[in-house]
Amino acid sequence: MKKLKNSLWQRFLPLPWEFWPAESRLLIALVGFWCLAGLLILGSSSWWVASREMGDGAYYIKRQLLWMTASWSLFFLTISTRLRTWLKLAGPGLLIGCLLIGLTLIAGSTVNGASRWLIIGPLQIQPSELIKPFTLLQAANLFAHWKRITNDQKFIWLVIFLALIGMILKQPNLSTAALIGILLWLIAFASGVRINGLFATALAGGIIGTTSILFNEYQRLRVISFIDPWKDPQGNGYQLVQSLLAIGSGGWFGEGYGLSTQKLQYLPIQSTDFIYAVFAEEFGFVGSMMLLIFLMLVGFMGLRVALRCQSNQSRLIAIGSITLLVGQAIMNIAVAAGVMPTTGLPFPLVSYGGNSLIASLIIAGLLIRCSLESTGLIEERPLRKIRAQMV
Amino acid sequence: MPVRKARSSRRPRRKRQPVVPFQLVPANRVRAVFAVLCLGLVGLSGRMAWLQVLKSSELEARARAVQTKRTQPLGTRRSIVDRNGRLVALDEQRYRLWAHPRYFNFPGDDPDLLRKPIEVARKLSGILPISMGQLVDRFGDRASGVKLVEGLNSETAAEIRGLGISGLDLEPYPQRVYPQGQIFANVVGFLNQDRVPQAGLEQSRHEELLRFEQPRSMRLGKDGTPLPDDLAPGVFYEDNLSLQLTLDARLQELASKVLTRQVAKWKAKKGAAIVMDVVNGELLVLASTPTYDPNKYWEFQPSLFREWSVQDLFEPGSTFKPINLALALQEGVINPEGKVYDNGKLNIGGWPIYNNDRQVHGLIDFPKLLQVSSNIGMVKTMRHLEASIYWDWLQKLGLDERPDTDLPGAVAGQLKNKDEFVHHPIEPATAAFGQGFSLTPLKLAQLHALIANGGHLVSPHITRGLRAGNSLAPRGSVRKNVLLRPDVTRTVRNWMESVVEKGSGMGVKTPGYRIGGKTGTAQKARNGIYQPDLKVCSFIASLPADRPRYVVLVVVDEPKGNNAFGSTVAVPVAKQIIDALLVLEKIPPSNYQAKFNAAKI
Repeated sequence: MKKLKNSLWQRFLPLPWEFWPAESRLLIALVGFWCLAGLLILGSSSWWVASREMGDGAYYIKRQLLWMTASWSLFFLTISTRLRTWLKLAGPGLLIGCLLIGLTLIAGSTVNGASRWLIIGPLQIQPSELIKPFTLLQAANLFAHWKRITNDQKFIWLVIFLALIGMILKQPNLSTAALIGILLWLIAFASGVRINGLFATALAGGIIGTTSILFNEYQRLRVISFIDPWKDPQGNGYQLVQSLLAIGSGGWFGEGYGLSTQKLQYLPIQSTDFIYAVFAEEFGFVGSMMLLIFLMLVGFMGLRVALRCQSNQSRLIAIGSITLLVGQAIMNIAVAAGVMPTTGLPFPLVSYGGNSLIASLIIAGLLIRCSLESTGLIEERPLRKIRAQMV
Repeated sequence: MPVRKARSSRRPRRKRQPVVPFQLVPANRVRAVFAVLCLGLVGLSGRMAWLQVLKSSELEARARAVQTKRTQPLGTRRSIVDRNGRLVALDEQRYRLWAHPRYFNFPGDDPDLLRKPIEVARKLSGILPISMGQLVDRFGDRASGVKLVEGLNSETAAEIRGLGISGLDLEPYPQRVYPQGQIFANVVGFLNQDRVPQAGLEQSRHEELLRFEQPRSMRLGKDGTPLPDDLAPGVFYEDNLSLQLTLDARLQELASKVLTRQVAKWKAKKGAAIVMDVVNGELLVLASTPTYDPNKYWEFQPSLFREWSVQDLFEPGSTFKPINLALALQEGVINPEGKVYDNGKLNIGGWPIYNNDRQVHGLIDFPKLLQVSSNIGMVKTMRHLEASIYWDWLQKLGLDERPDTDLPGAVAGQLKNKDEFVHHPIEPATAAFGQGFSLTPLKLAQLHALIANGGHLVSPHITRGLRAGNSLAPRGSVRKNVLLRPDVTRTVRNWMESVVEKGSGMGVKTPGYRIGGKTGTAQKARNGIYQPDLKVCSFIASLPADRPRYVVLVVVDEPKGNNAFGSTVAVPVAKQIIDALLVLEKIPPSNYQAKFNAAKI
């Protein structure tokens, strides 16, 4: 125990390393690896364009590293903060997020026909990204004891959730709206809500989504071009065609790290939405499989954490966080591979963008916190007491 | 349970709330969520296998087709430059604009929309020097393959490309351009519309002028940056060789201007000027008039496309006299200090021979003979040389063979056969004053170079060879073909110098410089009969006389007027060429004291 006390870095851990469950140890390693690999992939995909457009090949890497540092601080903060505190913050956080998203509709900066950004001084804030952890937490709050809360409680929050999705659709940001909808649905599903109601909701969601697509030209064009990109390879199908060409060029073993040709400005937005295409071209089918297996491993860890959790909230948070991380990765890949309409969604921890990094690492932190609390050693008592006991 | 506690603290307990027993989130549902994610991942691996394994080769081929740029050889030619690297002929990139009305579409249009020709014509008419109506006429009602306009330069082509109209196609092609225009036309020649060489060096050195090109295929970034993979060795090799001439553009320009003016002044048929380096046979000037503009060759008579100073023969007349004297000296049949009696008239085999000026010069020495250009003196002198030896010498000089030269189309001179020459006394007699045989101006310059350089026959040439980039070829090496003794040539040069000092060549006298020369006014024969009013006026000069480096030959064919002689027609041209030559080649004065005196006056 003396050794433990003396080592400095233990002070930053909410729980002594010896007491960490295997899942959380592995998860922290997986997240670290994910971030590192993400930086390398981003480096390869952004260097050429950055050196052409910004005059500095490392332009995006440098900024991503800065955001990475901030995000990892928040990651450790999340691990050190009790879930109870987070759950208390969830409601107000969600409401503030909704307000900010509402603000983007009024005063957002528009990129590619979608206004997703609030620009505050040097910072670009994307509320639809930052709201993800709070949505997850509030959903856990709501569905953990679905049967035990009053109908008006249920009604208020469901309306807020619907409004949130509606506003994100209005931005328009179809993919984030879909991701949040799927998240809520899956959390509700996991919590044990009756199947019939769930399917009714899914149906309603599907109808709303279709209507949104039909009435929004920006999205309609994306969807039409997704069905047959080769019809107009120079126009609406351009992005998807270039992405498919990149993925296909990879073949079995890929071109090799850094040797993608499609990233040389053939592929648009190659550092965010289509970063997977660059990865697939450079690492081939083998690399793609390893990535998918990696995601499955992360998901499996999340499942194990969820099953170990004693409380409903943390169980839902755990399964919700892997739904968000892995689900968003799946959607990003699906877009690049042409099995989903082309709408912008970053690959978590890989794509360039600070908001996405912060949200993803907070979510990962919540998952690890769930794992730590499942040990039953740190929930109730403040940290100091445990330390005192151990000494 | 902590959860229950948290819940209770959040929400005040309500009495009416029925007690619902605590239910843990069912593990099966949680597993099902994970299963859904796994399903997504497995589905994606299937899609990846489809894209990266099954469809990979097809997609990669499509990608490479977009990424790879192939260039086909355009058939460009090497440039031609003068001795100082000035461009004489070069290829410029031009564009041909093709229209395919069935693909007309503007950027940003619906891909299925077809624009009308008039809309395209409206956009193009601002850029092209053609009106909208004409453009529409050219489109006609053809669906594709309409050649709109040719000869667009790169700037215009870039503007058209910037419009982004699909259905327009810019085809690059090389265009031969001759920046020096008429000045080098006689030497360089030209290419016709199909880039087939038609005359001059373009024709004679066709193979060497073809630029080495290879089809090239390389992968590019979208901004055009070439990628290093899959490149064959030497793909980037660019042939920047150019053919370097020995001609000097400045001198050539001056010579052709002066010559053209003089030919016009005397209403002559044609004129030629040659400046030759006597040591190695390089030509600095090969000007002739009339000539043509190779950039607009179609506006000229095809008969102008040949270089007559190399391809046409003339009877040299008096300019050949120094050479005859040199032959007599070489054979030792005359004494350099000797004299000859010019009685003004001779009758040989029934043919009367007079001096040009019909005068009697009396007892004259050889310098005087050249100064007054005495025909009778020459005939009497050359009588000492046996006719057969004389003929052998003329043949040895190469009068009847094609000179060793790179000049396109150079021809051999004409010499009577030996039998005729030996058995008819009139033949060696007329040959003595340069009639009765014919040669090209080029050959005459070569023979005077022989006198000037101390007795060896040089190969007159105008090309130095192929050189890369801006580097210049070295001076050609000298191949010695010695025919005359140096003391013989020195003697003749001294005599020729006296012609400039006090004879018919006084017109080229330049203070400070020693120049040797000889005028000639030859009669032209037509149908075997000498015509009294058809003359060829010529002048040959070698300079500096003490150690000659250049010979300058000016020949003017058929000047009109009673006063047309070598000294009046050819000498003024030679004078201007010599002045320029002295400056351009930085030839120091022979006698600094003389120059100093001249300056004081």
